[in-house]
Formats: sequence, C-alpha cells, structure tokens
Amino acid sequence: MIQTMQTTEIEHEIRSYLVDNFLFGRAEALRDDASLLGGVIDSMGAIELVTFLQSRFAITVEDEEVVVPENFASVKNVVAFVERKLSSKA
Amino acid sequence: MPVARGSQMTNEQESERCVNLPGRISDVVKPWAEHSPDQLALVEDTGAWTYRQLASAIFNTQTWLRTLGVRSGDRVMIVGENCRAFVTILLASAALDAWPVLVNARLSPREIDETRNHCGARRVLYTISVSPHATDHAKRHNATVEERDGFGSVGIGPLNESVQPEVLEANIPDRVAALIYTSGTTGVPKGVMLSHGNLLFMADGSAKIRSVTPVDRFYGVLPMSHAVGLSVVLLGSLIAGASLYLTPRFDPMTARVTLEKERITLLLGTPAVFNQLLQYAKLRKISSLRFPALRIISSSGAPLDPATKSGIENLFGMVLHNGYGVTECSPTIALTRPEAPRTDTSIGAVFPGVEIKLVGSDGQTASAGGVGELLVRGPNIMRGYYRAPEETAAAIDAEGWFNTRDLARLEDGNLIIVGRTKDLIVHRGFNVYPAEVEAVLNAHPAVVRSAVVGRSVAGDEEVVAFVQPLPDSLLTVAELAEYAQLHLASYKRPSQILLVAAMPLTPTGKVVKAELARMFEPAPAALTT
Repeated sequence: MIQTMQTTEIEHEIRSYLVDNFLFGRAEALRDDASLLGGVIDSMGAIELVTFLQSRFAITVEDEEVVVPENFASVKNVVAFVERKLSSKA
Repeated sequence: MPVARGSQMTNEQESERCVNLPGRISDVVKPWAEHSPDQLALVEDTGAWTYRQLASAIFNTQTWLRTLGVRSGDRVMIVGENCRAFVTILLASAALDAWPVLVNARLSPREIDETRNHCGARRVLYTISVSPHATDHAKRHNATVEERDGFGSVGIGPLNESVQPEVLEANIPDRVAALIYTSGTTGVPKGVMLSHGNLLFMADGSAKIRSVTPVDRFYGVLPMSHAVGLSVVLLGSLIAGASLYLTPRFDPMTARVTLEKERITLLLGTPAVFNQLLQYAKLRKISSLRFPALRIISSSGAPLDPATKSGIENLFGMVLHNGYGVTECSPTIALTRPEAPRTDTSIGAVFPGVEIKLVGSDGQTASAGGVGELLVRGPNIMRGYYRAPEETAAAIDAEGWFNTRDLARLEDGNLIIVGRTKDLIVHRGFNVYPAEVEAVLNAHPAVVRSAVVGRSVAGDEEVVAFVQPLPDSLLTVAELAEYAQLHLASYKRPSQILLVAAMPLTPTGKVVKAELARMFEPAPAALTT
C-alpha cells in the first residue's frame, strides 16, 4: 500500500526517477541536498516530476505547493513533502 | 507600399514626443517618486520597492559606484539575471553617465570574458543572490562579495585601472545608456551602443501603444540584459509608473501562480515561453487558463508559429499579440496593436515614428506587395557598434538606414517576415549565430571543420552541428557535446551533432550548408546528443 511506504522506499522511487530521467543514469550526481529546481531539473522537468509524483503516489500536487521553496528545493525536501501528503491522506 | 512610416501622428507630433522625453533612462523614476512615492515599482520574491525606495536606492548606488572607482564614461559590466540589484546598478550607472554593459549570467566563461575584454570594463558586478551562474562567474573572477540592502549579495570584480573613460556626447539623450553584446555573423561579438534617447523613445512608445498606466502590473520575465526586457518591459513599465514583477527565469507553475495571485495585467514573452505554457497545460491536463486582470499577452524575440498562437489563444481565451525587432533597433520595428488584433502571425504595423523600406536584390525599392530586405530608420537606431566603425558603416548607410538583413513584405500596412538573409538561428528566443558555434567546434583539436544550421521544430529552431573529424580520429559525439558545454551558453549548444566524413564545399572551400542539410535529412537518431 502506498500509504504505508517507508521513507527509504519513497526516496528510492524519487531518486530513481530523477537519475533515470534527468541525469542519464549517473546516480552519484544526485546528492541529497542538491538543488533540484534550476539545478538538476529545469522548469519543464519540474512539471514532469510533479506529474510522476501524482501518478506514482496517488497524490494531488498544486502549483502553489511546487513554488514554495522548502517543498521542492532538494530530494530530501521532495521526500518529506510526499510523506506529508501521504500521511494527510491516511 | 514598399516604404512606410509607422505612425498615426504627424512628424511634428513625433518630434515633440521625443523632445518631451526625460534626458536619461534613470530619470523615468523621478516623477513617480515625487507624485506617487508609495506606488510599487519593483517586486520580487525577496521583497518590493516603491518608487520612492527605488529612487533612493538609485541615488545611494551612484555614491557606492563612485567609491568603487566608477567614473563618467567608464563601462560598468553587470553580469546577472532579473532582480532589483540588476535594475538599480543599471540605472545608477546610467545616471552617472557610465555605460552599463548588460550581460546575461547564463553565458559561458569564454563569452563573458570576451565581452569584458572588448568593452574594457572598469568594474564587473555580479547579481549573485538570484543567479547561481553569476555566482560562478564572480568566483572565477575573484570578486569580493558585499551585502547591500535590497540587493542581497553582490559580487564586485577587481578595479581595472588601465581603462580610460569614453568621451561623452554633448547632448544627454545621445549618450550611451546601455551596451548590449550580440554575436555577429563572423562569430565575433559586437557591442550595440543604445543611447538614452533610443531607449526612452522605445519605452515611451511601447507604453503608449499598450496604454500602460500606474494600475498596470508587468510580468518581468524577459531578460533585462536583452533589448526587449530593457526598453519595452523595464523602462516601459517605469516610465508609465506601473509595477514590475521581476522574475530571473521562466517557470510555468510560478508564472501561473503569480499571474493569478498578483493580478498581472501584461505578459510579454518569447514563443519559447508560450510553448512552455502550452506544454505545462498539457502535462497538467488544463484546458483553460483564465486571468481576469490580464489584458495583453504578446510574443517577440523569435518567429511566432500559427500553432503556438492558436494554442495560447485557446488556452488563455485572449489574443496573443506579436512583435518583431533587433537589438540594433532598441529593438522594436513593428508590433500588432491591441485595437487591431491579427488572426495570422504578421508582426503588425511599423512602430510609431519609425520608417521602413523594402529593398529588392537589385538594390531598388521593392514593388508594392513585393519581398525585399528590410531597412529601418528612426530614433530607435543604435549609435553604432562599440569599437567597430567598419561594422557600423556596413550596417547603417549614409542616410541613416539600418539593414536588418531580414526579408519582409507589407500587406495592408502590416509587415510579414518571410525569411532571413543572415543565417541567424533563434533558439528559445535567443539569437544563435552559426559562425560563433562553428568557431568553438573548429577549435577542438580533432575537428577539421564544422557547419551549424537551424532546424525548425514546433515553435522553435534547434541548433544542429555537422562536424568533420580528423581522419582516424576517435572523436565521439559525447566528447564534442561536453566540449560545447564548456565553451558555449546552454542555448547555443547544438541539440544534435552529426559526425560526417566529408562536407560539400564550394570551389573556394566554403561549406554548402543547404546541401549538407539535405544530405542528412532526416538525421540518424543514434547521433542525437
């Protein structure tokens, strides 16, 4: 069940998506604190990431939530954001 | 009608409009600071300034620049992206009669250094708070960092004591207010000298055409290091007392939220910006975006294709206007008018006060409805290319006509661009000159020659490079792509590199690009970078 996913699983899913789609498979290029928006992914990449999160974790992500820096600043922030979304659904 | 003057006003009325303009671009702030001091002038994520605060910041920044050794006639290079620091340093430099050299921080180290060396910058300043790219350049140039109120962190490059200030023109409006570098067809960047008069003529005319008033709120996403962002958006907003929402880079989600929340009334973008909005809507499954306060959306900077125009008009439920210009013309030459929207992708009627003529290949004025090279004359024409008198003379004739090298025709008083006589590629709204990209690729030790062409894709042009390696070379596409990444700004890097064993050449050894493009169409997918 998605609602019972552990942090490590969520992080693994998000990291894999980013590495496969934006870093040509170079996992070492994605640090936990790496700046995501404007760094690893561009503006269109951000929309694609949001689309992925919505479909993979069955959550709704509003534009207003993406533009809040603390939600999408780094992989850690995105993982925490998804966890909050999932726990609020549970 | 092969010759046209873009105005409903008489010559006398146009002359009067120029006479009534402020002297310097920095003067546009003063009347609003006096009469509407609490009106918002500049807004960004980190804070906002009223017109009074902006006037005060410009004054304080002049003092600061003097303490940094900046004199009248010195070139002050600003490496940055849209933010209050960029605007204030620009206007304060202009107020001191120093020449602001406006540089997009996204340019590569090579490009930044060439500009710095050519213009002989007394100081280079970097808006590092909003731009990781500016931060990288500041570090590379051993800049010191200073925190300034409202600016955040600003990088300050070392004082160049060997440069001499330029002698100023006697007439203030004729003095240089901005130096903007544009890479020429030879691959060597040229500094376009735009005067206070050029920029204010454009700012005032643009604001009047769009009936901009203090109740307006501009979305400032076009780079202010480029001509449209500088004259039409920044100065066009300030001269009308409107509020400008500064955005260092375009992001559709942020744009949607800002347009809605801040009740933006004017959005000027490139076709690439509007295409991103279309892609955003598609990915987010949005069929309609409605912003009740928004009254004008307009595209410029690259050719607008019909699919983008109709897609945006369906999405926004309003007309997408179109405009055309070049840096040397400050930049607008023609634009569609709010009261006369077009259903096609015409670039509209000629800008008020500007004259155009179309000249055929025989050197004679083109016949009515005929295609000709577009020449422009008026108060918007640059002072010339900096330190390049021969290039200036080649661009502007003795009668003051600037040759755009674009091919156009007139239809019912509206201009339609039909092609380019120069082989410029417009990628994501930025100009890419093949000669510049070729010069970089040719410098690779394993490259014999290269040829760069544009390829039309939906709403954009891609940069495609054909590269002939040395015989027996082990050069790979990936290696060349990495090399291009080191030496070229991202928008100039080829989206596709094709390695070829030989190239079709003219008897004098020039690559026949048209034949090359045909030989390799469609390009093998395996070589896509």
